[in-house]
Amino acid sequence: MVLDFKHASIPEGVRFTAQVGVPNVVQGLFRKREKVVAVAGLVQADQLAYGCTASLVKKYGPEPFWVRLVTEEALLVHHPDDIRRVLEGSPTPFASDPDAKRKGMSAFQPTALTLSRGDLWADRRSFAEAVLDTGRPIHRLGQRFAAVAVEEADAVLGLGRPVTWADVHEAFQRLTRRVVIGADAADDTALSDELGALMDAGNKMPGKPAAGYEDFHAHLQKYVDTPDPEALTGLVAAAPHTDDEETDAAGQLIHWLFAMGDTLPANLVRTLAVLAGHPLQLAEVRAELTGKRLTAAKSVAGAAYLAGCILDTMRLWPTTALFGRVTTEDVRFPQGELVPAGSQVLIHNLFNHRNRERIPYADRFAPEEWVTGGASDDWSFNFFSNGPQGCPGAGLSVFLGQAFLGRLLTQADPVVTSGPHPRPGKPLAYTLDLNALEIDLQPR
Amino acid sequence: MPSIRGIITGTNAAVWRTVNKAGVPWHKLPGPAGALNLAALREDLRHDNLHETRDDIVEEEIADLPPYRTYDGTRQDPYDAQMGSAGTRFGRNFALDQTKAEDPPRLLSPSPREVSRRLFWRDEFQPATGLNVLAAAWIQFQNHGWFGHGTNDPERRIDIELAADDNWSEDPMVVERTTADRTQDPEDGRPATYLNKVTHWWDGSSIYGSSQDQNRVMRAGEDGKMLLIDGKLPLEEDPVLAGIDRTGFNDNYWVGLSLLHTLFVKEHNAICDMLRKSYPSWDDERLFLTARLVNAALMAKIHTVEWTPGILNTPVLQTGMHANWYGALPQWAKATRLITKTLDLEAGAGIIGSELKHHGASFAITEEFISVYRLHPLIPDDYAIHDHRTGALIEEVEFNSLMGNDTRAAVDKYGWSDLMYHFGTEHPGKITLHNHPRALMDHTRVTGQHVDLGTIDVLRDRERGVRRYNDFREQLRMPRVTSFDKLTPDPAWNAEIRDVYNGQIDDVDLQVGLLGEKPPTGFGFSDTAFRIFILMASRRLKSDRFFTRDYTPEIYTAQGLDWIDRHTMADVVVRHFPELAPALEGSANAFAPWRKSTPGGAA
Ligand code: HEM
Ligand code: HEM
Ligand code: HEM
Repeated sequence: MVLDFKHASIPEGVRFTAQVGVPNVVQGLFRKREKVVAVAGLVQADQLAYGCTASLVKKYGPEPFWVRLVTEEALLVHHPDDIRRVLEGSPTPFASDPDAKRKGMSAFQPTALTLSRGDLWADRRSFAEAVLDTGRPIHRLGQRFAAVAVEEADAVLGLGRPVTWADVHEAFQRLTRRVVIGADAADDTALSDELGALMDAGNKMPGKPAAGYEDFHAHLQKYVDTPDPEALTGLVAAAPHTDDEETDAAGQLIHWLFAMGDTLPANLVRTLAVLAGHPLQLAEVRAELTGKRLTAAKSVAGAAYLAGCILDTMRLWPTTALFGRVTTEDVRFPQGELVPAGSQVLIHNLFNHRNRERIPYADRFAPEEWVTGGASDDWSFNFFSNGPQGCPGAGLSVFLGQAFLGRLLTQADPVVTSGPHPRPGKPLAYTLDLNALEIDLQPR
Repeated sequence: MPSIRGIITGTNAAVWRTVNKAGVPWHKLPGPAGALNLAALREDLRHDNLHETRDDIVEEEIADLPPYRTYDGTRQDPYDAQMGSAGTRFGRNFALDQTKAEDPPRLLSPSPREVSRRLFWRDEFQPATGLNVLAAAWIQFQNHGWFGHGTNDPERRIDIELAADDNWSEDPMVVERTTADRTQDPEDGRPATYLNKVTHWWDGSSIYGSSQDQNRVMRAGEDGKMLLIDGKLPLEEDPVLAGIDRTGFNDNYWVGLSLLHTLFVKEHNAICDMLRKSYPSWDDERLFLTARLVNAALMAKIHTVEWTPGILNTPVLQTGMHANWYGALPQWAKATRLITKTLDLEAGAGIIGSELKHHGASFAITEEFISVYRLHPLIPDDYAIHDHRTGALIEEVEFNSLMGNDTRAAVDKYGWSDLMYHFGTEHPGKITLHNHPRALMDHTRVTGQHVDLGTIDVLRDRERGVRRYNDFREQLRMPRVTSFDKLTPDPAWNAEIRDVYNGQIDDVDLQVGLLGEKPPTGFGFSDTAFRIFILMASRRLKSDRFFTRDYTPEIYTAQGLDWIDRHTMADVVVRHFPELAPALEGSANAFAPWRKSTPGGAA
């Protein structure tokens, strides 16, 4: 006799695997495969995924429940209290290295913080927080980073034609190299390409560093050994780390590079598209920025409404649609239900962020909820994750986004000339396909 | 015009009456036949053995029937607002002219004290090996939710002369009479009646109390929860009740009750958490009332499908009790179920969710029912407390240091886990003669009164007009026992009984007959007691709107019904004492002995 959560049926598991699991793997890879994403958009995979989880939640109620994902049952947690329990309990007893993630990520960042457990995690975490100034209102180098963001925004504005995801991505790769590594790396596109290749290799989930990892690591190590005081490498020496093997400072940089260089711009391009279709909110952003110098870190960080726009876009179209944990030991939930060691625990952001039963503004753009509402305290929203293992780069991400978008929006009017037009009035679609977007930035 | 159901069940009863007259008792019949025979017996019992004692019945359809259990048990029946409420009369299973109190000298003949000393004294502990001590505490816990005669009347005493060799603390032994029913007209000439101080309903009043005032002081005041302080119930403030939990019913309190009261208050609070997840806007009161419904039903279900088959361990009963709760039909037979339900065939469809019915008399716990539940031999005298992890002996203690004012100190000293482990792994006493706990035959109540519970068990029946053994059987259409040789399977005991009763077989007291009788195979108690039991156990469900017509998702919430359906006693224990999960592993019934850890070895 074991106290247990309910179990979804086998057909439900098949459906969940097909509608939530598989699309997440084929789309949510280390570098979104352009064609796959486009096709998925057409068949409305995200909408199916929402509907699938919604119907299971409706059937199984507010408690977590087990649902088969491919061959193994995973525990889906969706009530904010349970999400909180799991995320507050990371990395022990809820470790963030489920098998698939570990196998995929080991290809390009075998020593990643997010794959670490126990003392090693604590060691790497304090290193990351020290460099990223996690939790501080403004990063020590904020002034400098804002200037870089404005320069890169100006480069995009200077293209003189409607911009695509690829344009912004390229600008952000450069921004990332400058912010993370320093001026010397500004034009080292080879570095970004090396990482890209490794991440592609990761999609095959090799479970070990892919060919070329050693060289890539050495490439990074060289930069770490010749730090730039105006970039994150400049903060490495002073940050706590036990020894090079354990902390592996160069290895930690990898996550920062792809998160800032790929994930962040994806969210910013979507924010731009949303604001292009939401004139009232755009006006509000502009009002907030009037008379502010975007090279002053304080003005950037003070643009709370703009931050709300970025955050709510991330809520509406989370780049991490589904993420998970694995239990390191037997865990009992408060009602006594037993979750055995080694179980996968899933958090379906795509569903939780839009749960119509729980969130009054589920399907509309609601930046104000992040400024004056309760969105920031709601454990339903985990695009940056949450708790002790939440994204340590969240503050820096939003800050860079504010500076970059702030510059674009004070200089130009965004007009979507091709691709999806997210507009107020009717429920926003679950998919906002980056690759189809073309945004004209018309000088004001 | 007779209903279809009437014809079917009526025919069944007639057939079985013939079979039983031919001398074949129901428990000797093969499974399904036994089950049908039981259903027939219950039909007859419902017809002949429910008698009204109340004269305050006002039948009037109640407008705005509350969709929850009221604090005092009023307005539960849709037409009779007072039915089953706290302070109303106990009913009777026998016609009222068969309920007259015994007067002296018969009241004291033979001396109840001598009956107790000579027939109940525990020479050696006789264990009930199929059960654990939790089962003993459980039934006392449930009894306290169903009935209580309240404090006795210090002004009206019965003196019992002691035998020459009896060195009881005072001579004569004094037993206070049961407090009389002041609502009864002394001139009406009917036998004395008594009032139930708690609600008659199966509503968890032992933890929730039987009035709103009593309930309020036990509430946390938020989220529908009951008050717990560091995981324990608050203590009573009255110095007489020092060390005793403040809870719905705390007479005769001891560690066994403290465990269960605390466990089910925790369960209540867990249910509140569960409900609040689905209904975040509900206020304290609504959460409380709904959680109470669910918790009370969960206890009723545990009692029906776990405790009862535990103590009456026979295949017929396993099916029978499951049938009471779920219906005998497998879940998948939905179509058939609908038909049987339409015809109101309980054997097919189960009582739960069926039509509300009182069968002739308004619902009340009966004096006879209380008598058959005097199961004091269940209580052991010795308690060897072991470490639940290692199985190592911690200390051997006696009953007296686990009860009354010492209750809390014992809980603090040994801790819930090891105490609960003890209750789960050790055996209670067998329900038989010569097995009354010595401690309870020499028991000092928190009031300071010194009592022999064996004496009281016998005397109360005589005082309250519950018939002696043979008359009691006759009222149940069971044959009288005509010879002392046939009373018990033990010739020595039979000789003792003959001696105590001076060869007068019809004088043998009900308790003596019940404890002496050889129970049917697998049974923890006698067939005679069982007759009252099948009638009353199903009635506690059948007469209760919240187990019949209002056992619906609208009243309980779908989550609430699901909670009741899914959880067992073992689940409740493990939910609140997860460290005991290994002991419960593989257990099919939490009231059967759990797995023991062995010192030095793995569990
Ligand atoms: C083939 C398997 C997988 C691939 C290719 C993959 C893809 C990705 C991608 C693209 C990122 C980068 C997001 C970013 O830029 O921040 C990422 C990070 C992450 N992966 Fe996976 N994922 C895989 C398996 C999993 C699994 C099974 C989980 C959890 C159940 C998971 C959880 C995460 C999380 C939470 C992040 C966010 C880390 C961050 O952004 O800092 N991944 N993974
Ligand atoms: C919009 C951009 C970003 C998003 C959506 C994002 C999202 C996430 C998420 C969901 C996680 C949790 C992964 C898990 O526990 O499974 C995570 C972790 C992490 N993120 Fe980000 N992230 C972003 C940007 C960044 C940036 C810019 C950095 C660094 C500069 C960064 C560094 C990290 C690190 C190191 C972790 C691992 C934390 C740990 O395991 O303790 N992220 N991120
Ligand atoms: C700790 C163990 C117990 C103690 C101290 C205890 C004590 C008592 C006492 C003092 C009385 C009242 C006597 C009177 O009428 O003056 C009583 C009555 C009774 N006891 Fe127990 N008892 C215990 C366990 C049990 C158990 C396990 C059962 C099993 C069902 C039980 C069933 C009853 C019943 C049915 C009555 C009659 C109640 C009434 O008249 O309203 N008791 N007990």
